[in-house]
Amino acid sequence: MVQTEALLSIRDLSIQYVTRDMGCCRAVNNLSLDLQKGETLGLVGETGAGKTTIARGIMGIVPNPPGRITQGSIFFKGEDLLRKKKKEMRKIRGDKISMIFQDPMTALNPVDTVGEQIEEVLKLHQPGAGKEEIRQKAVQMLETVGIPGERIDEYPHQFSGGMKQRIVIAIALACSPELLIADEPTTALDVTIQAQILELMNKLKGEMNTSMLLITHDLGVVAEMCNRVAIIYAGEVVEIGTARDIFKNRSHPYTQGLFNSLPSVTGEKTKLKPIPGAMPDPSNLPAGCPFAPRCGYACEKCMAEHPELLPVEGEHYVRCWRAAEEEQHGIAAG
Amino acid sequence: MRSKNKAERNLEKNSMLRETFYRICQNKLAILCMVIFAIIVILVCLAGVIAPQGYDEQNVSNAFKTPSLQHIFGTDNFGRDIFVRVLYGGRITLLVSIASTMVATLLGLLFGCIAGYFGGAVDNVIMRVMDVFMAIPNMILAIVIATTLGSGMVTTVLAVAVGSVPGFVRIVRAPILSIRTSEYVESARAIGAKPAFIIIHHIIPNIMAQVIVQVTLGIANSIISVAGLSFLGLGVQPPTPEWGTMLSQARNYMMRSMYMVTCPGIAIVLSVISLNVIGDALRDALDPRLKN
Repeated sequence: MVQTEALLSIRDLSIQYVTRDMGCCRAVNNLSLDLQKGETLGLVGETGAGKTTIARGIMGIVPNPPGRITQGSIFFKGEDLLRKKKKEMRKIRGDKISMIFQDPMTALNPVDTVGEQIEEVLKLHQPGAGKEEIRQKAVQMLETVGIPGERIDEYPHQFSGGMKQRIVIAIALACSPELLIADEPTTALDVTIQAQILELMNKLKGEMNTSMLLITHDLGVVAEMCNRVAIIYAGEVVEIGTARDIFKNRSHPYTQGLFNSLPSVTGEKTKLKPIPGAMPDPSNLPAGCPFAPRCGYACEKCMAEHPELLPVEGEHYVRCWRAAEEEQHGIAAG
Repeated sequence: MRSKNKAERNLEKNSMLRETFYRICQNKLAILCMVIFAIIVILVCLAGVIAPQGYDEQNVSNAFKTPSLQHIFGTDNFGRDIFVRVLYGGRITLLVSIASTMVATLLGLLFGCIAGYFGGAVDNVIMRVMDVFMAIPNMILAIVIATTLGSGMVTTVLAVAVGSVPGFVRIVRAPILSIRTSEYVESARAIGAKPAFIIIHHIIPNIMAQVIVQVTLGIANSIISVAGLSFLGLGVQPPTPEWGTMLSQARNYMMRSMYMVTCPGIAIVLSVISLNVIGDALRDALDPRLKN
């Protein structure tokens, strides 16, 4: 984990939501991540694991109150985003770092034409450009994502869900950002459209040389898109490695559980094995490993001590006492 | 490519307006009221053309006449034509009430947007101040302001506006609470937009429907307040005709000539009722969900 070369490197980031009646909800805990230039990193985890909060933290749009970044730093091209002034952050958002939202149905303003919404980001970040120039660029972006340029003056309700997501992508990529955060970009779409959107994102990412942080809970999407994968559980990385490491040599019991709850296409029909129980309450996290209460292999050490992120081999790290011990004894995990 | 679709685009651009207009057209009463209010406004605007001699031409020998072809509403105690005075009075009444509604709308939008968008302590402070204003009856608030600042047109505008600000703030703030958490506002923040930009470009267009309805109903309320203040002698001062002032003066001669009170009274009632009906119709037309 070399800090200097990474495009984005998050160190010890903690984000909490503090409310009067719920107490302190620890959404992200001491999270560290690195993203290299041109790479796609997948953030995988179940609902409530803190994936979206991480994305919001990077963008600097954690809703405050109740959200609060309590510690850590986010280095983007060597500069700490958390130390930046609001005004400087606004210049970065949308220009250098941009975000694709989960639900294209609600991510577009219903009273503005799609053209106005694409032009908006261009106007904000290219103040010198003329009106006609911006409009041409907007038409060009629309065509880049595969929508005819004549439709620029139509309203969001005149487009289908997949097309709306294409428009959201056009807005996100209009300023050729260096980092694209995609927060479950295909969750709200049906499967055939999903494939098209993913293909489009992959293609544009290659053309613009953008790095991508892909948030998803769909392991199929991960397999198709990601170079590296981080499995997030209760606001921390429990396993991180290349996509190959995670798919072939999964070490953390939670990761294994995730794969066990996928139906197999080729194998015989068996009952799925879901992970029993639910995520721990983030306002009351256990002292030991947060996964221990649901883990089939949990021992006393797991309940008492919080495991560190330990290397398995190469770039593959896992946060589990058992996996680390097995590694020491030279037994292959999984 | 662009010129070909121009007509089509215009149609698309106006589609919400068209749809609203179409829905209003199905409401017969609303049409009638729109026509009535339009006639009132046109007549009032054309007062100078209809009666170039002005509103204070006196002819004492001609006082207290009943309606005739020459004086269709009759004449008052100084022999002035009541119809002409109602026309000129309408200028003041409508102007003052529209102006005060505009002032209230602007202040309401400003405070409502700030309270709704930023939330937290700012919201609390603004809304508690509004609660204080709401606790005082509008008319009493207006009377206090008018007596403190002295009578006159500008004071009347302010006096009436202050009382209706809290209503606007509430109308504006409520929908913003849900709009500010919507994803398009979040994505606007994610492209680096400033709060002011988000409020002007994303939030205000989304609450315009509610605001337009409130403006229509607000003007109707303002007409009553303005006339009421003038009736009490705190608004526009005689000899300038104003519907409330005219009523107040006519009160003394009520037994002798009913036309002096009735005519400005009818003018007030007609404008207020028609604005209220138009406001209700607009609300139904702009928000079809309410009807079903």
